[in-house]
Amino acid sequence: MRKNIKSVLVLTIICLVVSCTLAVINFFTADIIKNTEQKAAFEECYNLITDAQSFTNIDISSLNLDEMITNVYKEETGKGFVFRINSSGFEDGLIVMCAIDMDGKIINTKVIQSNETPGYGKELEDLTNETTKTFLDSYIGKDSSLSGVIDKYSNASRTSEGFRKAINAAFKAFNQMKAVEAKEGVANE
Amino acid sequence: MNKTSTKKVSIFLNGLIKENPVLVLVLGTCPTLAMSTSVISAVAMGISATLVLVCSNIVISLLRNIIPDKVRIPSYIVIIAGFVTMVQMLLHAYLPSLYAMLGVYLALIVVNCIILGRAEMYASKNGVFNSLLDGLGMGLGFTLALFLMATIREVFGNASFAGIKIGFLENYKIAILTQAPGGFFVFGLLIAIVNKIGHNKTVKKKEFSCSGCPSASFCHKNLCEENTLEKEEKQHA
Repeated sequence: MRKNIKSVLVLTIICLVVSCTLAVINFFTADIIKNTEQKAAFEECYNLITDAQSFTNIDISSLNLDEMITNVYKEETGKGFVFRINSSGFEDGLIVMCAIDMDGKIINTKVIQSNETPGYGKELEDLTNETTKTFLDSYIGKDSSLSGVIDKYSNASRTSEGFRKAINAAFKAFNQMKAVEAKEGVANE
Repeated sequence: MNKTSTKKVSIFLNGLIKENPVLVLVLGTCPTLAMSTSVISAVAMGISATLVLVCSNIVISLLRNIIPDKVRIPSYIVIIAGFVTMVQMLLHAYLPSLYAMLGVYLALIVVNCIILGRAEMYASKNGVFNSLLDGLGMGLGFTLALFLMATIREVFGNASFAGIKIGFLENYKIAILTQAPGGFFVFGLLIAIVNKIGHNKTVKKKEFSCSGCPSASFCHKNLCEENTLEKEEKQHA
């Protein structure tokens, strides 16, 4: 009995000490992590809309957007929206960012991160690769019909499908965002 | 060099070749195969695991007389998980690109057999300084194995080294090396080379059978040793 109590006590104390240490480290790093994440997200936004002034991160929790949409950023001078989409190609975690202007045309798009096969789908992250550049450039200026874009990227058909799925989700979210803005405009008037 | 310092050096060197956790003990295969597609991610994983291994070995060795036998495994896991979470938070805050690169495998260090194995087999039975040296040696051995595998896979599979393109290999890429079958192939190749180089020097399987098995105390069977003895008898016959 005494042995059992000692076991429980020791394990509890270890758990408490570890939790307290983690709480202290979290206290010092939480803000830095939040800032780093925001900075990284906005940095990508500025890369997509090069002449943007500033961005706001829109709270999408109550908007009922497609579950692939993880973040929506609005350019404050009305140049458009940037959508961060978590899609899946050959593997999960194909993160795409897509900027759409107020007329519903793609300003720019980029693959931020992926777990695709190196040498194939993974190359879609590499902007120095000519094939990647041609593939992504074919989306610029296109509306939701996506007519005239390059369908498949190199030999990565599953990655291409995942990318296309992400762009379609961005357009769907864009229409919803426009509808929300129109509603808010009417309410303000 | 006196006897004590020679022993300390041998504890440290054990993990590098003789008892290399990846290439001799064949532990930590999952992160090894997953993170060896690029040199940068392999080295980052190796350093993170080494840091956790050294810290957990020190703490477990310090607490070895306090932790009751019944709760030793949960206690070790809590301590290891604590250190992994600390590394995760610090990487997320100060090296976010590395944090993103390591992805889910960073959190999976908690269940890395090398770390739990060293806690159970070494740190729980030895002094703090020896445990530190063992953790450092094993961690560097893990990093070395990852680095070697990643170098072969990245150079020949992706025609680059640490992200820097190697122009003359661009047209001779063996793309399968960057995928799972290529990983297993390189892994097997390195194990074979280490076995050949370290012939009679690396640990033989029977040396880490029942006596070194974490489950030995509740298994109460000597099956591993019996099997080894049977095999040896057959070989002699």
